[in-house]
Order: sequence, then structure tokens, then C-alpha cells
Amino acid sequence: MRLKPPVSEEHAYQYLSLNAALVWGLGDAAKMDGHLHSIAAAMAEVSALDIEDSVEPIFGEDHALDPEDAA
Amino acid sequence: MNPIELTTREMAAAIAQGALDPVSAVESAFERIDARESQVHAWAHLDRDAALAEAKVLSAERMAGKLRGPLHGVPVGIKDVFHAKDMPTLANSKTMDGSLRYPDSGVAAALRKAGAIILGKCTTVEFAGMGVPPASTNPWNSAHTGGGSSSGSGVAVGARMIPVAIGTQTGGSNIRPAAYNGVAGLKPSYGALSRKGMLPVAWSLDHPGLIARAAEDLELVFTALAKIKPEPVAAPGRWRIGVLRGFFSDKSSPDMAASFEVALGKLSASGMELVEMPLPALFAAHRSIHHLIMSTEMAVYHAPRIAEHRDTMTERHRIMAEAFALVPAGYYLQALRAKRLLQQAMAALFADVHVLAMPTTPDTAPLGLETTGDASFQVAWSLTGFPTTTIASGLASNGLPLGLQFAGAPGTDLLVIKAAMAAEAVLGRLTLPD
Repeated sequence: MRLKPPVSEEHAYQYLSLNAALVWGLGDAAKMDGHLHSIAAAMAEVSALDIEDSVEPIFGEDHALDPEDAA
Repeated sequence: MNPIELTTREMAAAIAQGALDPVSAVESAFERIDARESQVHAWAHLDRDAALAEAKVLSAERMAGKLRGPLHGVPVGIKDVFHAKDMPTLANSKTMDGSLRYPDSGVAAALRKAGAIILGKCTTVEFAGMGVPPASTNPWNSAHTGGGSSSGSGVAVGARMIPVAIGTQTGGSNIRPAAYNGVAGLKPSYGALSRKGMLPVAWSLDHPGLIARAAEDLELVFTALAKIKPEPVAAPGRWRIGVLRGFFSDKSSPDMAASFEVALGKLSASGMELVEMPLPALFAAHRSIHHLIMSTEMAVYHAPRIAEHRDTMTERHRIMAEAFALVPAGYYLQALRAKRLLQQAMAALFADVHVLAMPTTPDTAPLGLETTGDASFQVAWSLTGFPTTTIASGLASNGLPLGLQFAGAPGTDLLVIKAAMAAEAVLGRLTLPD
């Protein structure tokens, strides 16, 4: 799925619906329709953000490296 | 002195001074549980015999002059997504094997090291996510939810069974049940408390949290459990508090909005300086950013469970996890880049104020048990990893509690707790229901 130019919520929803049917089958795809709409809305909003090339993703901590937890 | 009326700090002090025996503290907790559990359903697992046996050991140690730590003899509960070596972890899911035992989670180990007595596991929404809620009801009105996903943790404290419990928060799952039950809560900075041995929802967003009778309890327990012991902080001579409206005001119910204004008025009258703070533009996208990150990580974690336990996993949870698996990888990474920008923009808000204040929830605990409430006032802080606290700000017209939330810059957990303590001293604590 493209990030730029920004996708519309409708475009994202169509993409998700097609994939839902392909991956999980038509029955489950119909049951997840509400989730697909919420994901599509989020995709459209994030797709529209302008982020400079220098910005890197920020991941979570690796708690296995914490001294106390490693014990 | 009835132990169930004590805050965590008061109980710990009474035990340390010999005014209260750990056995009496545990017996009182179980008397209260016996009286209220059939209605509020706060517990997924209880081990009375083990708790009393541990209390007797701790009692003997105290009489011999030994205190294990600052929570010596205090009965506590932990959300049923944390492993404890002598208890099952079920996470409100039939996919979990109740016969299995795991080593203590980091939080459980830290509690025991501090001398706390873990009575059992508090109920949770299925896998601490957005699956099937537990049967937990609100002690203020059993027709309403006790919140979630840390349902039992909030309800057990609100019902005065225990003075403090451990919850978790990925969206709004710790602060929200604290507020719905009229007590105090802390969602610490990301990484401040151990996630080892805690079932994840989304690794980069998960936070263990505290729910306690009083704000002062948060300071005691957080200091005891923090992976890196925090240096004590003093409250500022005069608090400078940024007030967030906009998104928060727009979504607040009339009761919540009125309670917030009354609370601000009292804080101002007490000498605190209030400063109106605009939200950064990127804030408007924070729920979408959070949604894509949480969805992707949750789907990856549950992929093997969907494959192996399709028949025992609830359809509600399975369908959600299957849908979440469809988020394109590029969108997940773009959301993680946006998260970095949002962290920077939100951190700048603290340049000239000690903490930010806002309502804890849009409204009181919803009617019914199908939903555990609206997490939208916590999501930004779960996403950025900044610490937040909540205290009760009063009662709504329906008799249910409302909350006042504070947020702080990363790593300023004790300062955010101090703000809650200062505000609680002004606003007072609610008298919890019988």
C-alpha cells in the first residue's frame, strides 16, 4: 500500500477489505468491517502527515537488557 | 483501627511500627473480599492459605525486627496478565493453560522484595486489550463497569479490599479504572516499571501501572517498584500547572467539564498558578498514530494464538486481531516516526510548567459491562510514554466518581505524583462506598 501521495480513508478501506477477504475469508471479513473502517481512518490520517526524511522510527525498550530484569 | 480504611502508606507505617500485624491486615482484606466479591467480581484468582502463610512469616520477621522493604506485610493484587510463581495466568482467555506456572514477573518479584503479600490476580479484559470484559462491576454502582482493562485492580481498590493494586496501560487501561473507582492511579514513564513476565498487548506502548487508595501511596509504591530507584523530589514552592482544553474540553460531558473547572478553581485558590496551554498541531493525529502501532504489535503477538487456539479464543478478540494484522508495514513504521515527532512536540509543553492538567475521562463509568469505557484521554500519554496520575475530583450527578489527570515530562514520575498529592490535599479524597 502506498504512503504518498496520501491515501483517502475510502481507498484505504477498499485495500483492507480486499485483503481481509483474501487472507481471512469473506465470512470473517464481514465481521471485521468496523475494525477495517477504524484502521482505514487511521491510515488516511497518518498518510497525510508530512515527516522530514531525517526522522527515524522510535521503537520500544528492550526490557531484556535492563540490569534488574536480566537477573 | 480497621485496616481496610488505611491507605497503603498508613498500613505500611502501622505494620512497621507494630500497631498492625500483617496477619490482621490480610485477614481484614479477605473479610472485605468475602463481603463484596460476589457483587463486584474483582478477582480472577485468590490464594487465601498462601497469603496467610506468608503473612505469618512476615509477622514473625517484623517481631524479630526485620522489615523486608517499604511494603512489609501490605496485601496487594496484581492484574492477571502478570506472572506470579504460585498462581495461574489466565488473562480472561480460555486459550491460556491454567495448570501452568511461570517464574515471577518483574513486578511480582519487586512487590515480594518490598515485603508485599500478593493475595491473587485481579480480573482483566481478555488479554488486556479490547476483547471480552470480565464481570467486574463498579463498587459505586454495580450497574456500571468498573473500567478496564485493569478492571479488577481498580475495583479491588475502590471496594476497599486492598490499598493498592497493579494494573497495566497500553491505551487507557490503568488510569481510567482508577478514576472510575474514585481512587488514585499512576501510569509511569515508559520503561520505569518492569514488563518482564507481563503478557504484552503492544510492546512499545505497554506500561505496568499503579492503582491506590491515595496519591501518597503512588509515591511509596512507585519508589519501591521502579527498576531504577528514583531520587526523591521536593514539591515546587509554587506549582505552575499547564491547563489542557481543546480536545479534552470538547469531549468532556457537562458533569466532567464542571468538575474540572471547580477543581481548577480550588487549585488556583490554594495558590497554584494555572497557565492555559495549547496543544501542538500533531496532537490531532495522536489516536491514529497509536491505533496503527497498537494494532500491528497486538496482531503479531496474537498470530500464533489465532493459529493454535482458534476454537477457544473468543470471536471478538480473534476478529479484532485478524483485522489488525492487515495494517501495512509501511504504515506501522510511519506511525513510529510520527510518534517521535509527537514526543518532541509534547515534551516542549513542559518548558515552562511543572505538569499539565486535564480531565481524566470524558465522563463517568458507562452503564453496563459490554464496554469498559473511553480511553481517549489517556492515549496520548500511553503513546508518548510520559507519566500521568489521576485523583478523584468529585462525584457526578449520577453519583459516580470523576477524575483529574496530571501529565509530566518523561522521567518526572515523582513530580507528577507530587502534583497529584498536592491537588488531593486541596480537593480531598472521596469516601469510598460501603
